[in-house]
Amino acid sequence: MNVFALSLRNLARDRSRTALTVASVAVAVVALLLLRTAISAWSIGAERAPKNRLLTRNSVAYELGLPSKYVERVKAVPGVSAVSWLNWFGGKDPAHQSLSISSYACDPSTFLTLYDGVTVSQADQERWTHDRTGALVGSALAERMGWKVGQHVTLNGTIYPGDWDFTIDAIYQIKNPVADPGLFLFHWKYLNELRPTHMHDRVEYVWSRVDDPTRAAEISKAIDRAFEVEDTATRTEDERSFFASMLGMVSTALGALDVLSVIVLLIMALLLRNTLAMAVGERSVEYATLRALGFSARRIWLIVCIEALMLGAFAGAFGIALAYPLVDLTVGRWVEANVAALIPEFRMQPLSVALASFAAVVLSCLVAIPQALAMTSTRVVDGLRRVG
Amino acid sequence: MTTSNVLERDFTEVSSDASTQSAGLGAVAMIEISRLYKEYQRGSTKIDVLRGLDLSIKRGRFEALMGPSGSGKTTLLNIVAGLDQATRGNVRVGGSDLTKLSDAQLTKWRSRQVGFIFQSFNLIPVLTALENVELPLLLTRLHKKERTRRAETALELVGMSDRKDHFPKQLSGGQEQRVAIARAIVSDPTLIVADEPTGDLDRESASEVLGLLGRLSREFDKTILMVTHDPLAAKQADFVHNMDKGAFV
Repeated sequence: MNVFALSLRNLARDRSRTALTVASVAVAVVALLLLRTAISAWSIGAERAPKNRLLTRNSVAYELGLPSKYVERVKAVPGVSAVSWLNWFGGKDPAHQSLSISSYACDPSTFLTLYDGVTVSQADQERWTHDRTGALVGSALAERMGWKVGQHVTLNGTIYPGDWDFTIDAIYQIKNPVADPGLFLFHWKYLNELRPTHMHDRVEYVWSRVDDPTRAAEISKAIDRAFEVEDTATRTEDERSFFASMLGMVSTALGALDVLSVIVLLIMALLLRNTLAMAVGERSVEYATLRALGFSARRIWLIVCIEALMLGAFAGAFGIALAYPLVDLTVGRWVEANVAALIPEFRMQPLSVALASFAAVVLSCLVAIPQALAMTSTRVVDGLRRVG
Repeated sequence: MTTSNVLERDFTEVSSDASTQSAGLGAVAMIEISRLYKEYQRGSTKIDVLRGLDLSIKRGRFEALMGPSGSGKTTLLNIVAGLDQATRGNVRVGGSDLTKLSDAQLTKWRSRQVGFIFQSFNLIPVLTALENVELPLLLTRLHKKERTRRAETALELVGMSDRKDHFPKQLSGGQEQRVAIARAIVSDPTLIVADEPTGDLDRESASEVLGLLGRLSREFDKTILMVTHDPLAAKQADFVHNMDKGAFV
């Protein structure tokens, strides 16, 4: 028998209360991990985005687009090694209207030279390139929708109304987690022919690659300078900066998540505080007895804090064990399959897990301090007089 | 080897400090109190709990404090045991001047010199009888095996060996108090203080407990100071100090 054993026995004294506290704190840990994962997931896209790829868009609003002739002029800027272009389509499957499909109109002959994080067989790529209504879809999207190569599918256009018919020509696999396995890619020419006349020959993004990523900022400026005197000015930035600016748009939401995280930590602290206040308070006569027997204040602190620490550790471990299937395997899988363009990876980060563990353990020790203080600051004779 | 022999040997080894300080005290007073005052301030009112007490108890004596509620007997016991401090006066126990010790020093002193027996036994309910008895030994440098052996010996002395793995709730009041006595003697203190040790017990259990205390005094030379309301309990003591309104009568 030692003080650790005594603390453990104390923890097991009221098993239902301990179990409820562990479960409650574990739920708070899950909530904290979910929030921290959401916050970190937003920045992962920006952190992983390549710096050697540039996006050029209308300087006023990307929806206004750019004249398609800009593509060749961007290609002519020194330092640019490859160019392609894109338009956001925003299609929906008529049978699954609640699901938005990340669909883009692109140039099949150049797209895959820039989007090099995926693999498509040469034959499939050839088929797609030569099929005006052909579509190249990501493996996750194909799996989710149950699509097979050769299948005819129809999408409802949300920006370009009407039914758009496609043939699934190829399904790509991703080579690295930066690539989005949920894209629907089809011919820009197909879109250009069928959309309203005033939208003809306009592209939303000119997408380019530079040889030297360290010159990305300089080349971006050069591209924008090339269009300064035109009616439509451009704004060019590397993909990492582009994601970062998107993060700026949701910074308020991320800030709110930060605040929520703090609230969850407070809830966690209150749950632990409540249990410890009851548990330790009920044993004031026992602690007074131990002090009478010669246990120093330091030992009493140790007994109370070890009990609190074990409670926090159990709750933290249980919470993390619960969070893994919920955050990584459920929410994470869904996010990665549906909004990978924005959030390529939604997994608990080691830092978040460390934070949750640290919070559970440290908070439990912190909330134990007032209890330990109460047990050691009361005179022994007063403690012994209390009715236990 | 008898239980008494084993205990005598064990207890001599537990606390060398206690042995050193107690050496040669047989003929002199274990407890020496002179002009002891204890006052409490309750709001603007000063309450005199102990009024200039003088007391001397020799080593190995079993003496009782009796008196009505509020007479100051428990306060005196607490001061002698180092749980409370006198307002003024001299308190020497086992050669130590308690009025000169800090809280931390008193705590250490208690762990070596004093065994406690409470009216409500005050056993830790989540620990077995053996573990409860082992508690004071956690404050020593003894190894686990030795702590267990000594706790078992103490339980044997009080006749509770067969219940060593029982939790307090599985024991009767008398059995709990015997375990508490084992806890009080396991670290070989020179002084045992007992606050109404038979207050929560039936007559038969009370008689057993008092018999044990008497034996500790006679066979193991323990100095025992007991607070009691019970005249029958007091009769077991070598001497009874009657108190009223903070003074001996």
